[in-house]
Amino acid sequence: MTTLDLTRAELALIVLYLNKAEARDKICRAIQYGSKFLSGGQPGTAQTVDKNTSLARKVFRLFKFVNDFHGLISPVPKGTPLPLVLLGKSKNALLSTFLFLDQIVWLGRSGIYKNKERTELLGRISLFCWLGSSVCTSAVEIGELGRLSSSMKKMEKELKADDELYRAKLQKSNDRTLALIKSSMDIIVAIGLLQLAPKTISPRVTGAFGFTTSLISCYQLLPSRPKLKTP
Amino acid sequence: GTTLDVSRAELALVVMYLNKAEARDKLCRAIQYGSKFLSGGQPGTAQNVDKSTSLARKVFRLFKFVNDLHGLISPVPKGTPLPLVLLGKSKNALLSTFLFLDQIVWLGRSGIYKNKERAELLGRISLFCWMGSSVCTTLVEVGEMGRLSSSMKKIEKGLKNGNKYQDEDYRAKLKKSNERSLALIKSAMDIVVAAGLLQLAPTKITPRVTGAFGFITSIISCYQLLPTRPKIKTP
Repeated sequence: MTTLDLTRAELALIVLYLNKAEARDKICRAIQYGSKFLSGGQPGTAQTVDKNTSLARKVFRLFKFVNDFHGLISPVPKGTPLPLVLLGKSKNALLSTFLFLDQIVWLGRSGIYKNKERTELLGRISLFCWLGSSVCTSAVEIGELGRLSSSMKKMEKELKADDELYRAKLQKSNDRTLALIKSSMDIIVAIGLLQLAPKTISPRVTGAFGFTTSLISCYQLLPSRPKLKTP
Repeated sequence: GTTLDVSRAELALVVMYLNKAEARDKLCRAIQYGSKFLSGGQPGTAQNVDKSTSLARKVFRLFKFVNDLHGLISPVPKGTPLPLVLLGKSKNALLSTFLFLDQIVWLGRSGIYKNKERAELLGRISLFCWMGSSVCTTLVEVGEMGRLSSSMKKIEKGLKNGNKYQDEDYRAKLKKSNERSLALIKSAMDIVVAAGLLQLAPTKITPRVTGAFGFITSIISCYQLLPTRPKIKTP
């Protein structure tokens, strides 16, 4: 392979990554919360970028509520305990409601929907939905981590720790730990946006946590490379 | 399946469609030019939506220039005549430059890059690049359609008694030719949009005309991005 071939292959991976709407949204989210962190809630360039990017993401997420609506009516993997099913479905319902209401917030911010007060109210309700969905996600991840660890312990007792299946479970457990960290940090972001604890969770803290969770999302969206087999 | 299964399958198609960054961008483009058409260039809600959606698309297209950079250095299908290769590569280069410069325009509009005059100049240059890329695309489509029609005529002559519509190869070429006609219409209309944005003929190509043409080309793009459904075979 020549150098050009290599660059081309690498560029193809980047193109593939950036062609996902979700990856682009999370990059913009990193810009949004990064500038919130820099602005610290004070007027200026950073705050303008924060607000513009926030509005930009809203228009890009129009109709995205169908994603979680689809998740809501799709069947769950067999063997999932009822509490986790209910938590997962609540998460879908809350996220779908958040994304649906967020469309009206966009209509309000761009002046199409004229009732400013109603827009603000719906904006707050939508953020509470998002907060709720992050709480549900955290609870689901904790539950799933518990299930994984108990089944891994069983395998350890049966001396199957070298098993393919064991390693797959370990990988899944790591993925879920990261998801748990992300969703618990997003709870703080939601509290910050809702100004429920304005003294401890300042715009700077909100920005820092939001930026971190955006980077985690960007990482999660990376294509899983086929690992080189070791003998 | 039950009704729920059907709606779930349909919803899955919608989700798949909307997960493409390109499909979302073109939907926003339809909103952008649709409101430009409604505003007719006059201040008001429609113009606000036009401007904010335009800015929103810029931030969403950050780093998108790598797409066409990749096209620029990728090999072309064998047998493509040199003029068409050169036109295709020019299109990639111009589109990539447009998208690259558009990032600086975004930096300017959001106040990160402070030199307003320079940002405006780069904005104009970027639009000229986009116009150039639309001209190149139009020429490529014309050239490719010419090639397709001559090879289709050859197939017709080769078939002595058979129905040409029963020939697999002929039908595939016919389908491609239809697709290229649509792409030709789109790129030709986009030249008008670019001329409108650059205000090269402000009396003829008003904001309303620009908006109408831009809206139509956005809808064409949305259509082109629809997944190709496997057709039901007829006996």
